[in-house]
Amino acid sequence: MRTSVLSAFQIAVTLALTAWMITGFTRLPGRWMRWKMFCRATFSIITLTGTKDGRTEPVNVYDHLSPGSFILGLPQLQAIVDYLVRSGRYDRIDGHGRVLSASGEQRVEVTGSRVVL
Amino acid sequence: MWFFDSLASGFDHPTDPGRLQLFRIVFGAVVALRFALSLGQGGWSRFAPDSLSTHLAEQRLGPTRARWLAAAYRPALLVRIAAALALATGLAPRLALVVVLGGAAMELLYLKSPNAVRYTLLTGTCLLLAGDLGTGLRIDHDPSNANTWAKCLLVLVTTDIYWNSAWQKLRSPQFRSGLYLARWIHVYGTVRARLPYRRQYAVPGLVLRHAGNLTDRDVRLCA
Repeated sequence: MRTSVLSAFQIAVTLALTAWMITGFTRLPGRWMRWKMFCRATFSIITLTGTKDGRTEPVNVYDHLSPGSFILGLPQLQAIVDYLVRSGRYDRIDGHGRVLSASGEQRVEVTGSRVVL
Repeated sequence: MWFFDSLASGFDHPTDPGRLQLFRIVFGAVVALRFALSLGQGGWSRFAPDSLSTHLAEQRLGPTRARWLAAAYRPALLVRIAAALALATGLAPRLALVVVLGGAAMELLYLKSPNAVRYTLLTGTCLLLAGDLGTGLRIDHDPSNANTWAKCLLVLVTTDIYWNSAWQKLRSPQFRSGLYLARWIHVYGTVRARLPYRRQYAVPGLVLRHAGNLTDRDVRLCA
């Protein structure tokens, strides 16, 4: 009896796992069981300048990315710019560059610490 | 074949439990190495006051939870290394595995693309469901039902990674056209001098200069 209950539990969990895996082959929303390595990325090549008390200096945005990645999307770029301004390191940040994403290549501007496509 | 025999019998099928015990040892050793390496490249100083990582954690989790994470972070880094070593060497392996999974799950709170973490959590959970993890470095080969289910789950999870990854790549115009690779090489070549840990991208200069035929034009191909 105990063995059959255990077996039924194991079969139920296995079926649930299989169903979860099948969702990874559909367009249903979800993050797990979708192994999208090397499938899509937004790359940014960007040159920034920080201004503090009237003096300007180059800002290397790539210094602030996680080790192991130079893939940089626009929300992440905006978050880094916001942090650098909010922490008082710069009064404002400006710059320009290119974004390579699923929608092609686009020019991007950073004007007064705002990232604008 | 043992996998289909196990499925057909509702996992009531004796198999060699040693395979899974060996997997436990290898899993523990690899995770211990990974956890130890995560102390480097700024890992130990993550969530320092006023750092970008703290700012991002506050944005994502709210100030209170970000403060908890920052307080627990360094002790957790050390505890999870000890737990991974205990798992590999078979000292209270089940308890050690629970701590290892908790330590790995912590990374979901701050890593941007945590596929490796997800795979670690899935395979670790399969391991947790095994009936006989063994103790110490001893591997037991007497056939039993104890690890049959866990082995089947591990096979399922790992098979899914390969098939699903192939499926996602087939559906990705960026991958199919080679645009992803062309852009990766182009962006890497352009920003290389500005990367803080540039040696980790193991593309030798010789290969970059002579073996590739990707040009700047290739990053502008339509996906």
